[in-house]
Amino acid sequence: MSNMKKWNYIIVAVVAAIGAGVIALSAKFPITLGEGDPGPGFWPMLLGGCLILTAVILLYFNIRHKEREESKTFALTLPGNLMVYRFMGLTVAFCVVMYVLGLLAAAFLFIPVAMYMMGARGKMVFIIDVVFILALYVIFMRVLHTPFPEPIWMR
Amino acid sequence: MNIDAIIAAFGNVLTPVNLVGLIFGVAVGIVVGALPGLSVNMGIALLFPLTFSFQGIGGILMLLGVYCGAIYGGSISAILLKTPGTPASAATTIDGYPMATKYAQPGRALGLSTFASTFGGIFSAICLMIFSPLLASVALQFSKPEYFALAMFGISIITSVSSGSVLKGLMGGLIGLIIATIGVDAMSGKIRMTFGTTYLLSGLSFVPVLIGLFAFSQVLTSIEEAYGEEYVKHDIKIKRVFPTFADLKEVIVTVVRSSVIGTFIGCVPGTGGDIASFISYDQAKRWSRHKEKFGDGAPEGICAPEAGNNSVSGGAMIPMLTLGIPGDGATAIMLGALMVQGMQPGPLLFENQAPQVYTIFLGLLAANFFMGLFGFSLIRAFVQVVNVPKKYLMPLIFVMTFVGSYAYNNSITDVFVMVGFGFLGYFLNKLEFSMSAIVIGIILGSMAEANFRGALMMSDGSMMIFLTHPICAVFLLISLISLLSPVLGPMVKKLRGKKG
Repeated sequence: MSNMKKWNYIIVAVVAAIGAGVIALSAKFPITLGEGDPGPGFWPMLLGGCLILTAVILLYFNIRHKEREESKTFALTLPGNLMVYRFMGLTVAFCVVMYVLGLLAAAFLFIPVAMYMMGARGKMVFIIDVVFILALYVIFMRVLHTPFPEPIWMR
Repeated sequence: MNIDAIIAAFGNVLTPVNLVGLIFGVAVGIVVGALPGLSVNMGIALLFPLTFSFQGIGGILMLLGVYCGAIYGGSISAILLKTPGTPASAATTIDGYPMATKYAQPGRALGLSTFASTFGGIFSAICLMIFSPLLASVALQFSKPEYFALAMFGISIITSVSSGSVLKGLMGGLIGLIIATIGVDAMSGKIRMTFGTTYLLSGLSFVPVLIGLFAFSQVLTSIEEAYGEEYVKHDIKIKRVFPTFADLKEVIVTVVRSSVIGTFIGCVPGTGGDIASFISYDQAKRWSRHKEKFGDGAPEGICAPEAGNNSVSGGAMIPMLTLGIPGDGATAIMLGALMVQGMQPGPLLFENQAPQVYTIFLGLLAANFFMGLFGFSLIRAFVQVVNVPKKYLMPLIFVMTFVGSYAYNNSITDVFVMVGFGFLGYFLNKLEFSMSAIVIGIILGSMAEANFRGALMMSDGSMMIFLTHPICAVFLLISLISLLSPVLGPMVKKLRGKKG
């Protein structure tokens, strides 16, 4: 199990880096504070500064209340989490297949695999897959004219 | 009262396509709400892209249906399974589950919850119709400093009551505000933080971020929770559903009181059905002549939280429509939906698009009516939803998130953005970040910056304008207090303890 204290340090570093990055990217715009519109860089710089401030405050609270933060635990490597990471991998594969074959074909392949990973077995999986794909086609494409990603050779 | 606008609104709501959309939204909302693991925000986020298929305000009516239906639907699994379908129905389990199981009266429990939900929803819709125009006429006096302060107020309240850590809620809000700065700056035409990509020139699309954070991440969390779960089919037999006259007489005062509480709480940005339901329950118990029955199937114990949580819907729409400040996560999404349809919430909406405003009022009323109708007539069908295994449901919802995020802009990059934010949202939820805060930061970011810079232009660059405008100063002070309250509160208690 992971504890919040460790992850708070990571959050502090990441958030401070984001804040610093935003300030750096906004610094190239001229700041015209005191002359009306302060310019396009002022507001992002202000937000970046506030973000760094919140990171510092979190760092302080994390050190001050380390026992409390250490007692907050959450799971990242339990079997349920690993299932989620497998699903994330499947999602990436789905994105690639969708880019090549289009959404309907990719979904037709993805749904049984995903259900199988979650423990579904038998012909119900195939029936749901076919009915769902048909419903998507009829309701969304035909009735509502909702566009779907097309196969690569149709673009 | 604008009679022409009301007549046009009736026409809008009763248009067959719009009416079908509204009824569809209510039905989907009830199903989404009844399924533990799905949330109101998720249901609205998933159906949000469908609004583009509707002409005009029809899509908004559908989302209103989902909103009302989902809050009510949460009571179904709360009563039957002791597992609230939505957080707003958590208090309903306390008395709903014993009435359904220990006393074998699931129909009576569901009937009471349907009655209370419908009453609360209609009550708050009427309040919305009465108070919104009044507040809008006050808000017409606001100028740029006030609107900037309102945006800050909305963000601060959301973060201060966000689940998890307030500081992380604030971080999320700031990140949302930063995301809103990406793209071409409307005032100067300068390009900010696009990293040379054309995709980011018009900013990061709000819709895929929304679907990713609210819907996709929730799917991943549900997959984690469902791992290793034994599937149990629940045999549910419903007899009488409509409450008896004796039950109605017993609960009516509680229902009215809870509706008032819920409507008021709904008006406060950042609070939602969960807070309203618990406060309503607490007050019902306090005022009841049968306190001892609470926790053991008391009818008032079911009606109070349900009237409270459903009356939040109208209350939350009041600041959203009149000030452009969302009352909760769901109205934040609807705010985005209105903006995408070319309707800018705020006092001018009541001046320039009165028929659309009244359509929303009547739509909310109709949504609550149909919710009650479905609840009383089709509850035996809806309760079967709790038996749908997640292993079949989650992959289908997964695919729907892809459909939704592509439909907005026909952009495959939007889909990849949705997936990225979905992955991020899964981990951010574990780290006590608030998704609502991030989304509201994105939605209010442009308004906040535009009014901030506009106010400085009014004052030739002097920051004092934010203090010399009283309403602005008050909102900024409240924002500061709400952000500091988690720190100030314990300090004040400590000081009082020392003095004592």
